[in-house]
Amino acid sequence: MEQPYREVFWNISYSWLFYILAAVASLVFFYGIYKRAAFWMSGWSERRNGGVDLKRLTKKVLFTSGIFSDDIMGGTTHFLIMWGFIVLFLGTVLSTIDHWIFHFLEGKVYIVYSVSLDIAGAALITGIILAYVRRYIVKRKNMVTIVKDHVVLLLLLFIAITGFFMEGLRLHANPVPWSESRVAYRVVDAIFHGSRAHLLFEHRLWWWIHSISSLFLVAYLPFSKFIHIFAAPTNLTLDSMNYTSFLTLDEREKVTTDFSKHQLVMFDACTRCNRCQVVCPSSNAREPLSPRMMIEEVGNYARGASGIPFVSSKRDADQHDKATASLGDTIWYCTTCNNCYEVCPVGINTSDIIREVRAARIESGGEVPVNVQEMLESVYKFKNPWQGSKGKRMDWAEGLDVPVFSKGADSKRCLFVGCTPAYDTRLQSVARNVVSLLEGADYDFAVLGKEEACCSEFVREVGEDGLFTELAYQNIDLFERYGITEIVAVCPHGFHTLRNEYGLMEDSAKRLDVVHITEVLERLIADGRIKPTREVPLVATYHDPCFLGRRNGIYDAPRNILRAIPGVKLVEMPRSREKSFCCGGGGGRMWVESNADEKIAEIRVAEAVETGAEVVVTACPFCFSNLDDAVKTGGYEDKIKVMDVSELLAESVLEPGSS
Amino acid sequence: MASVYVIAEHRKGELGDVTLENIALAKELGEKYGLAPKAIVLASSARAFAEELADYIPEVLTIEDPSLENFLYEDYAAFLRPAVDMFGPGSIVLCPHTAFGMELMPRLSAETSLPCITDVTELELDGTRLRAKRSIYNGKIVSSVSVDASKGALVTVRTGVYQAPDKLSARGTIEGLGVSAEPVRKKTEFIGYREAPAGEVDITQASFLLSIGRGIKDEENIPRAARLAEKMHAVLSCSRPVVDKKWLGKERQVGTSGRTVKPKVYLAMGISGAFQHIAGVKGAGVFIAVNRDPKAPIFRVADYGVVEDMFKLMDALEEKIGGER
Amino acid sequence: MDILVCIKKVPDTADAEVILRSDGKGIEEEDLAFGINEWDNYAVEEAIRLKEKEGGKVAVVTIGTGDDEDILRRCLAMGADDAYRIDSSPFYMDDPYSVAKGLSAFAKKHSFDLIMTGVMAGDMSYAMTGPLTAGMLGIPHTTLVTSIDVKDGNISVTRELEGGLEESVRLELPALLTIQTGINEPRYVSIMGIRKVRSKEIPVLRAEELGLSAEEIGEQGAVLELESLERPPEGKEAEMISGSPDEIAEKILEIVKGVV
Repeated sequence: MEQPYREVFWNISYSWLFYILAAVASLVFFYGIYKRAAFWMSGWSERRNGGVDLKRLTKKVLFTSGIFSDDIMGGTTHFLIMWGFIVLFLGTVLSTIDHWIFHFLEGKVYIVYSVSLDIAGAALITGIILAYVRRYIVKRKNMVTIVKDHVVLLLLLFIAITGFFMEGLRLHANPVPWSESRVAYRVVDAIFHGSRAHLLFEHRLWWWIHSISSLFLVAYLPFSKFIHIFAAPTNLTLDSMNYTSFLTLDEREKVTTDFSKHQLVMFDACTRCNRCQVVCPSSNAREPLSPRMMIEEVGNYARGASGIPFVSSKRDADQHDKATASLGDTIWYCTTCNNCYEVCPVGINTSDIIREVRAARIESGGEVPVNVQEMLESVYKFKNPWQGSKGKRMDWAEGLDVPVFSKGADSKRCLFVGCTPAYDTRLQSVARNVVSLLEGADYDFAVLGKEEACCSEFVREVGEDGLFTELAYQNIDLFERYGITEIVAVCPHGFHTLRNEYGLMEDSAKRLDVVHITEVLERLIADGRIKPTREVPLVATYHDPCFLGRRNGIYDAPRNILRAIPGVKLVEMPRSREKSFCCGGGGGRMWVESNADEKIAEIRVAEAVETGAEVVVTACPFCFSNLDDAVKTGGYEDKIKVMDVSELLAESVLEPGSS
Repeated sequence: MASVYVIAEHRKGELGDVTLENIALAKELGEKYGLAPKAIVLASSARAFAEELADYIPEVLTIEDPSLENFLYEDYAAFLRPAVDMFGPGSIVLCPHTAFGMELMPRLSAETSLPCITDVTELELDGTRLRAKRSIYNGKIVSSVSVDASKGALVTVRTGVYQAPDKLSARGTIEGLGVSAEPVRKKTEFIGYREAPAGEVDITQASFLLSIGRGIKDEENIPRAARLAEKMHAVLSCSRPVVDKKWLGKERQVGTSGRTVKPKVYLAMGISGAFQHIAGVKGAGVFIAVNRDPKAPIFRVADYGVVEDMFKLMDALEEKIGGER
Repeated sequence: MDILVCIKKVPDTADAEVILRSDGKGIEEEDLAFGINEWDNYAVEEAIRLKEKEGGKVAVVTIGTGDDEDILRRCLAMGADDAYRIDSSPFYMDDPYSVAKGLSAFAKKHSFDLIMTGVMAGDMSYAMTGPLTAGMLGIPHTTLVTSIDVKDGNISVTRELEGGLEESVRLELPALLTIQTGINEPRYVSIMGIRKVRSKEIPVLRAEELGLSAEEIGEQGAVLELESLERPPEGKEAEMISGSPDEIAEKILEIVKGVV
């Protein structure tokens, strides 16, 4: 019996024409890829050679976990299209190898091959149908579809269907016992009729149509949304690589291009899926920031100089340079909460791009909100953002016996108080409570006192890298001077930057062991050194600060503290942990006002009130301020109040009035 | 005999109250050190001003010239340079520390050999040494400075420190000071006055002012203060830094460069109490000051003081009022 | 138009506690933040804006020590073209006459169309340096300037008077203006911006190079002598209301009710 196989170019004459077309398509393809690669490579290099997270990469790239999360249908749609496409593409590659290099597609191998391709084709078609169901039947909210998306989807659909036509017609015109593709066979039955000669003609016709569309796809790929096939895995790979260090100020000064290689890849990886905008606190508050449009707008600016044909790179007349790459003041609305990054299936770090543009604004003397300028002036002059004088930095500790390094305290462990708990009279009690709790537990620590300089986390986020660097070194020098090896940060912003960013500037800071106060308190409770005994009968909900949760994965420590307090009943908001909705205070937003009717924090407080909680607990001074203000401005004073974790714990542990 | 001269300040046909304050100081110095207190009016038509001043000071001297209608230091100095030569050694010339005195006196000092001290709150003559107290470092320190007054001295006096004196039982004399202007080629020219753009509020008429200062910290806190003011039926006013930052309009600024106000209640929050501000609060019925800093100079002029975070207090006030309605 | 801006570094005492030094001659500086005098900062910004509009150059000068060069460098980063430091060591800095002598001697050596400085400095607040300097140079001046308009070799300015009133004055150039706060919104200069001008040379001038003798500008030549510092008198103290914010609020409302 004849082995099942498929003859390449069966029933086809002028195969040379196909080769010419294929060569042209390939040339166009490689030209496009070359242009893209050249565009990506035109950026400056970040120092990210700290290793690749393979597990995460596999999950995100091969299993597209980012698309599935919270969107099973979308995940399925993309999975079917993606794997259908890949298998069909591999099929073509194998067939080429089979034809030109060595013949192996016969017998059982061929059957597996052929069935796989059929399944892939079916998957592709199903995926595309699902894509349209999602758009026009389910009408998924917040989906953005532009004309070019139809080109992409319909082209794929057309290629898949014509593939089946071709196959069916071949099976009809030349019946073989292994007419395994019953579906294709039947489809053709329903559409095409006539003599064998006619079917052979139809086969030739559809073969050419299929081939030409496929070649068109190949040629079109680098110039379309399809580029994400390359850009997304590249971006995810770069994203999973750890920084080894930031560029120094000297190096940054010498950088002549606008964006890093990684950032340029980000622009090309975006497929406008809009997940970012759905979760963006600023977008939710109807402020003019849309992370998706930001990437598009700044991406268009960045690509404007790349000369990639047919690719959207339309610069607005006012986009003169990086500082104006994003028009207007939208960049200042970003809270750098990183929820967009969390949900982005292709790992685009919008806040990183926004930081770049903000930095350019600041360096070029462009439009920077006056309050941000004043905050920076204050950090420059007073080493804190609140224009507090150095002499008042320890006012919070009045009446407490707090060991201070400069006064000879002997400790390796520094309690980094932070500017807001030190100067904001509403929050000084946080610092006092923390100190009382730690001292009650005989926990060894000391503070830098008046010498402490602003951690400058938000200084970096608003783009003032120079000032950030200066202040960071002041703190690092203090850590070195006093032989500090361990840091307990009261504020998540200081915690984040001391833990993740200081070490990227100075090797000595790499060795610092930085923990957040909630981690310490949790451990001290677990060890029985802090005993929450007094009952605090309260229904509480916990608001995850972005810089503690999403940025650093600390979700359980504060919750465990709350659970340890007798009487506290913990309820969760719908958006918690990784999905926590920002208070609106990150990324310098403490100093940027919008004209939105509803403040970001008011949205969050409303969500907290919904849970029936009497108190919304947080572990961040910025969150506290914002939520507390929102309770007042939103008119929720009768319903809920805001507390810091340490405050609630202190109520259960300390004698009333002891701090 | 050496004298102490008060240069009258007038603008748009009106004599400034500050002139009377300086007359009070001149008379005080006169009594203490045996100096003759005299007022000098430089104007295009000095009579009316002189008549007004003669109620308070025994001797009024006038210099009349069409060029003196509106103040320009050049025109004033052209007469005052020869005039101070006539005043004799040891004479002291007083001007208010205002836009008028600040412009004129240091310049006159540079153009004559007389030393100048500005913005003084107290004066004392120690032989030929003229000693003054001045408030420095935002009113947190007082300095003593001195100059050699043997040839005479020029002084600008902080406004609002001295009270206008009682009228004399016998009116003072008025006579022209026979001095003519030194010829000068004029390099400055007065063009006109301009009222700062008026807003919709008139804080000078308010009986209750809630006034905010630097302590408000952030533009976003302005609506909060505005809301509290509304609830308390107060009019919102502010100190200079708030206007400099353009968070509130100039029409709401209390102080020498803003408006002078006479409310029944003045509730100042987050205002440290720079004199330029305090000088704008004339005769408030009750002056309540809220400031975090127990050493804020404002507590030295307020009737009631509260050392507390203004925001905490704003919240408490709002809550209390909310509860009452 | 070539502009000179005279600046000074002062401690920020707006929100800080000012502690007298035990010798009574000065204040404790350790806990204070120093920076460019607020009024001077507006002057520098205004000069740079004028330059951007009218062309020319902006120079800044201070009489100070090496520690004061940071404010000069900040001005360079803001957009000033040149910065000069007059070594302050022979100067009796508490005397505005000494300072004005130094500044006018410097200005004479160069030719400027316009000289600007702040209305006063936040430390001693004499408000004398500007008019004294102008007087020594024999050029017209005006103080408390809130806006500037340049037209055919003249400038028109508005100056702030009392009671919300302003006046317009025209001056012939060269002239000296003292700038009032609020005239503009001074720009922020980034650290990177300051780094960019870090290699720019700041010439240091000695008093003798300006033709000034130590007798003229030193303590013996001082016109105004700073004798001593003291804490302000206690005077009339406000009746302090204490208690919780709630209690205080209640008391305040009571007082208010009694009057209004």
